[in-house]
Amino acid sequence: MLNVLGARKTFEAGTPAARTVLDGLDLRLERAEFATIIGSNGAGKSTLFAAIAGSVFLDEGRIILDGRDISRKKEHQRARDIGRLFQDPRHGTAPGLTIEENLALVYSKASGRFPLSLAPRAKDRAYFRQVLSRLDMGLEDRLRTPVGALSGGQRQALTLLIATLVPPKLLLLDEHTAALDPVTAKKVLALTRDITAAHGITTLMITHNISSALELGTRTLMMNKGRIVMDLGAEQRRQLSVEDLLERYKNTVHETLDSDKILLSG
Amino acid sequence: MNIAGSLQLGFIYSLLALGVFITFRVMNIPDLTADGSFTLGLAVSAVFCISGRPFAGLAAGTLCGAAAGIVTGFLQTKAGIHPILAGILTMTGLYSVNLAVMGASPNLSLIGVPTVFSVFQNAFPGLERSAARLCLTFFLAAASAAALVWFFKTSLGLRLRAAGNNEKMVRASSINAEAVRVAALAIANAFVGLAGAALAQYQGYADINSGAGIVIVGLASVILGEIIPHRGRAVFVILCAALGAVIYRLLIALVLYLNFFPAYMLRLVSAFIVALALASPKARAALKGLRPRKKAPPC
Ligand SMILES: Nc1ncnc2c1ncn2[C@@H]1O[C@H](COP(=O)(O)OP(=O)(O)O)[C@@H](O)[C@H]1O
Ligand SMILES: [Mg+2]
Repeated sequence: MLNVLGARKTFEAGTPAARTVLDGLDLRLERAEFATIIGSNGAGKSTLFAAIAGSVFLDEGRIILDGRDISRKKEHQRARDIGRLFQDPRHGTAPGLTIEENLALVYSKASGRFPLSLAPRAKDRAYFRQVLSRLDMGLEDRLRTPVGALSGGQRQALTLLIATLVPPKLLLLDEHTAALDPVTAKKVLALTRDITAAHGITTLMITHNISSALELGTRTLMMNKGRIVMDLGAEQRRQLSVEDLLERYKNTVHETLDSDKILLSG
Repeated sequence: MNIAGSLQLGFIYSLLALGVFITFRVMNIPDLTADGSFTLGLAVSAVFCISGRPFAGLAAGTLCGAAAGIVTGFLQTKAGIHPILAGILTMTGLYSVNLAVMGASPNLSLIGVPTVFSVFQNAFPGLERSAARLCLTFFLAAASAAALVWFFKTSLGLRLRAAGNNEKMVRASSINAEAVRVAALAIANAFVGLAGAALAQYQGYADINSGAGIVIVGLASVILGEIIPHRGRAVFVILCAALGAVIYRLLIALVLYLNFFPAYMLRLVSAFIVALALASPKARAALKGLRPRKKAPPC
């Protein structure tokens, strides 16, 4: 489904501040595969997502999605096939618009309606209520509430819903639960699992939570210095504890997995 | 104090306020095109009147305003020029265009030429002149505000509002944010062009310098409108922006009537109002007599 070939990206090339953030990275994901990604801060994880989604263009290398080379496509053109969630719940929704308007924005575009047709239409509301009720957060009764008035967890759940309202070919989750409290994070992760499984969405999830990196999906990737340095399949993962994983990281990269943010358990 | 006259002018300027509202408040783009697109509407409308087609003049003024907005939009998106500079570039270029439209003459008189106002007056001879003008200007303002209310409920209108709110989200929704920006500038300047077109026919002349500083007049109107307490729904926000222009005109009439300062001080006072309002949210809150709100969404 996704094929990243020899991705290379240097920021501020030609200056003393030049940083090679993606260093000839290769990655292949099969259809409906769900892979988690771990790695130190600055390993290039977010940049990899930016390159796949098109908010950053590669210096070298190609990105093939579903057999098509999308390396030169603009971000909004790729967005039809790629959904993306960020750590900050404020990224994925428009706070001044109501819940139904946020949904309608995406829905009316995805269903290819005439730009001057009403959004939302009356019959859309019933559908929105139905999908919102799956979040189990009571949002289905608050269609006209501005999204800015929601909690971070509600907003992130809504963002997940919006990103998958029309199931994308690829879903990129960049630490999308890191800013949430543990209970809400768990709920959003469960939703993530349900929604991606229900639609068979190919998913990449960056996480600082090592245990969810091992629990979710079927594959765990480890990134360091712009490359994928470890790639664990379902079989290998099953035999691995969090401690084993950290140990393997240390042996591979010759330093400990950094960061204050690392969580060893859920 | 000429209240009817102030209302009539206020209704015409409410079109300007709607245009400025779209760029500055909904899209969060500082767009200075209005200085040029206002005069463009004025000039085009006057020329059409002189050739005997006042209604076509209003339509042409609107379309030309939109075209000016599209130029600014392309300068901002395709050429990557800073929004303020892009607006200044269009406005500067339009000065020559406007002069060309007016046949190289800095002003055109519409005395004795049919305008929408004279046509309307002739159609309803029973109406007093002032009442006829009031009806027509009110109709223009009301129809424009209604059109904008409807537009904001459409899919494209939603994209505009979302783009001003969170452009990142719009791009992530596979919507072409650049196209949305160009559309917003086109629609905003269409309203501004219509304001100019209506004003030319209302006052019976077109002057090449009519647009100087008009952005600030529009912005002052929008800010005055925001003082009106209302429920936050889009309809009311739009109505308040339009009403702001009426308040602005009434205030000016009052101030001139009371002889606070001579008419030529008006632009300075407008600039002062806007500076005060933008300088600090606290000043705005003081104007409103409220405690500062946390970054209120535009609609
Ligand atoms: N747009 C950018 N311009 C310049 N440098 C950037 C940009 N985006 C990321 N970087 C740099 O790239 C490096 C990797 O960042 P990132 O991909 O965010 O790492 P990660 O998500 O793995 O923590 C960092 O040093 C960061 O400063
Ligand atoms: Mg990151």
